[in-house]
Amino acid sequence: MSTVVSLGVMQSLIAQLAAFQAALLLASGLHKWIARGRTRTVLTEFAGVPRRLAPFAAAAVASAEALAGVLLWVPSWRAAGAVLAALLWGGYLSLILHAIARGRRDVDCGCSFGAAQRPLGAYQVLRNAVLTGSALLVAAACEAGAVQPFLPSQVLAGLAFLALYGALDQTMSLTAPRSGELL
Amino acid sequence: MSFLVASQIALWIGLLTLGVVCMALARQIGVLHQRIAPAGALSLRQPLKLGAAAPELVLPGLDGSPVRIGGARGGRSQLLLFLSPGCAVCETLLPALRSAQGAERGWLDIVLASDGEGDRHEAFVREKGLSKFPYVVSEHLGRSYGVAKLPYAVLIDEAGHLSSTGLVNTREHLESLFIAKETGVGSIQQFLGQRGPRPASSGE
Repeated sequence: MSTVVSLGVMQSLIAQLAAFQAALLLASGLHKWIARGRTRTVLTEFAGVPRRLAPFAAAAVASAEALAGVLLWVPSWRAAGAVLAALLWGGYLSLILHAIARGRRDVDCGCSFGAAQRPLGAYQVLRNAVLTGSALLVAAACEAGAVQPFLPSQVLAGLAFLALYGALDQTMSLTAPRSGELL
Repeated sequence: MSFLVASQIALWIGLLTLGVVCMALARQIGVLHQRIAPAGALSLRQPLKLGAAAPELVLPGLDGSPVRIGGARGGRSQLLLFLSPGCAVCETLLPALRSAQGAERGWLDIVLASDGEGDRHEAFVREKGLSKFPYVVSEHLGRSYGVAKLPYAVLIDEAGHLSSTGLVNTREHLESLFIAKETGVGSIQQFLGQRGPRPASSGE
């Protein structure tokens, strides 16, 4: 009995996580499409994409994120969506680590919804590592058990997590105090 | 729909609302931070020009060891903070100074400076726990840098040039000297001039 209950709880938590990832990827893909100019600049200056290919690369990245979000929404394609999400976030993580290793901390990585006022650092690395790990977790869970359509409460949970993620994103993009008691 | 499911949905909606409110507040802070000018240290009329070579001096510290002021310092900058044991504002600035010593230790050396009787300064250093800072008592130093009011700070860059100066009453004033060095904007007037005139709203 308790095994069945805990399995159900685990499936519900994974579904909430997947709903959050789907909402985040759809929002991120939409944002990249709306802010195409910034996305092109980021791809050129941060990812090293040649300038003439940047418009196509921007469209491809925005589409890939939106596609991953849609796939996560569909139960039969959720595992594939999670793998695509892990590839995307893992790719961004490697680009961030590469930029930090080369001392290019001040470049805009395009990984926040607003304009970044802080240099690249531990926060971006940790955030992308967590996102990549959570996407792999969803992919593994989808392979292991039956995948159900999202319940209304799970969709709301995903949206609530997205709002909290947005708040964290905004807070961490604020100019950091140089010194002081708070941070 | 059971009561449990309904309450769970209500809780998620509440959390969603809370997240949106937090996001809006953080966004508002960011917008306000971009709109307001930094609290720059007040630059007073002084004999030295920003960018000019700072006077080089070697003076005895309160503990007897020589303290070198100005000159090229092997990639490190130097902050001279002129204060006085009898100055109440100087005392309120000391926590910010300790924070700055930690936060900026990678590139900055801080030197405290004053004038008057040595005994008072020794007692001041003991009472306020300032033994970690080089402390110079020299009227000549203050005159060389044109110090007229306290607490006054002078930031000398790694090449020995005057980077920024000003009357510092708060942590923000002190940090504005570091920001001035990083951005190459010497004063608040120069910063506002670079931003251009603000558009007037109906309330102005």
